[in-house]
Amino acid sequence: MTGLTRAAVVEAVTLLALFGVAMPLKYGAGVPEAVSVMGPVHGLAFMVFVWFVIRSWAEGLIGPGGAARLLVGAFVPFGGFVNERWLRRHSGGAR
Amino acid sequence: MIYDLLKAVHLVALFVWVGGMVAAALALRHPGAIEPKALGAYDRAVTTPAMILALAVGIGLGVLGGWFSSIWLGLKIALVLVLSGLHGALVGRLRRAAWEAPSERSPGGALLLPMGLAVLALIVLLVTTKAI
Repeated sequence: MTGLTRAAVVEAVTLLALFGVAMPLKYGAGVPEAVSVMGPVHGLAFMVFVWFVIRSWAEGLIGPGGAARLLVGAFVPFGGFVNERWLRRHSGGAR
Repeated sequence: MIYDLLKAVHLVALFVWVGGMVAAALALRHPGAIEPKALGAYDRAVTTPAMILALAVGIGLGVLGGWFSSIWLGLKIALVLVLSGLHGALVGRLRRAAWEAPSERSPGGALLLPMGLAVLALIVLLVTTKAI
């Protein structure tokens, strides 16, 4: 698995954990600590993912359209998994 | 005490990160002066881990200090995203230069270094004054 693909998966999993676990725990069960933990974790995963996207674009492994697609996908739950499949199909992938 | 220690780690990581960015920018401006493969290996081993450490510890400081509701931290995070993007652009170009033939390499990335330093100055200004 390449660095960009790995970063896409980590970003997708942390986003799902934030929306699917931490936020229901905060608003449904009154456990705000879950968001206090998952929010920063997802923030870090997102920043590292953006770094990988820009690095891969600058290296010429993906084009501006691919970079835009990956960044938009990062804001959508499950979008990161679609990104991961696209990266696997994308010829050469991003190292 | 833990907050102060983390702040020290954050600053050292930032210095290492920015130092690596300056080296990468200079290597791109002066092809042939430094072997891109060697600098790429240094970036993988030192600069990028320092960036991730600076980001992680910075987020931890924001949580511990209760700064996340502050406007200055929101602005700082946006600027840090720009700074890490500039680093990503430098590393990407460096990696491309490493697999290009030396004759194909041309000086590039002239704006990346001044942009990075300007963003860094704004970040330091926001953190030290916390004016907004």
